Amino acid sequence: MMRVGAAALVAQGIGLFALTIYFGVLFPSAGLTSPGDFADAGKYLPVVAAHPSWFYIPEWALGVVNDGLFLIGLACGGVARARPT
Amino acid sequence: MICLFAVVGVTIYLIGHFVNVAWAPPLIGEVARSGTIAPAIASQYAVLANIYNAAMLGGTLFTGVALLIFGIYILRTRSHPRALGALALAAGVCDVVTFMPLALPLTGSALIWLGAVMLFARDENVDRLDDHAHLVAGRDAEILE
Repeated sequence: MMRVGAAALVAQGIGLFALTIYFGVLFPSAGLTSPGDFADAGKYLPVVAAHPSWFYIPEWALGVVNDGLFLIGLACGGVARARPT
Repeated sequence: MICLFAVVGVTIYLIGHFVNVAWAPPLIGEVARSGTIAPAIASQYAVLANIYNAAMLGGTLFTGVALLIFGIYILRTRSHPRALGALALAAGVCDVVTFMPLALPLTGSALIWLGAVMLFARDENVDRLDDHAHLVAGRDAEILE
C-alpha cells in the first residue's frame, strides 16, 4: 500500500513538471503570459479556439489526473501507516 | 491535520477542474465555429473564469498549508532528510502566496522526493521488531552467561 502511495506521489510530481512546461512554454508561445490573459475571454478563447484540441487538453487532463494522484498518494500512505504489515 | 488540509485543497482544485472541463470546451467550440465571441459566450466565460480562478487560489492555499505543516513535521523527526522538510516548507510558502512559476516545480520536487523516501523507507514496525529481537538476543546472552 505504501508503495502504491509513493508511486502516486512520484507520478504527481512528474505531472507537475509537465504542467510547468505546458504553462511555461506552450501558452507564452501563443501569447498568453499572465493570469489576467487566461481570465480574459477576448484573449483566451480565440487562442485556444485557433489551436487543435490537444492544446487545451493538458490543462484539465493533467490537472484532474494530478489531483487524483495526490489523493491516492494520501489515502494509500494513510492506510499503510494505520495498518502496517 | 496534514491530510485534512491536503484533502480540502485537492477537493477544491478538483471542483475547479471539473467545472472547467464541463464548461470551457463548448465555449471554445462555439468560438472556433463562429470565429467571433458572442456577448453570451463572453459573459458565460467571465463566470467560468472566476469560478476556476477562485478554485485554483483556494486549492493552492490549502495544499500550501498542508505542505507547510508537513515540512515542519519532517524537520522535527530525525528519520527523514532535513532538506526534504526545508523543500516542503519552501513549496508550501510558494503555494500559499500563489507564486505559480515557482510553486509547480517546487511542489513537484517535494512530492517526487517524498515518494522516493516512502518507497525506500523501512517499515517502522520492522524497525521495532528488530529492536525487540536485539533486546531478546541480549537478554538470552546474559542468561546463558
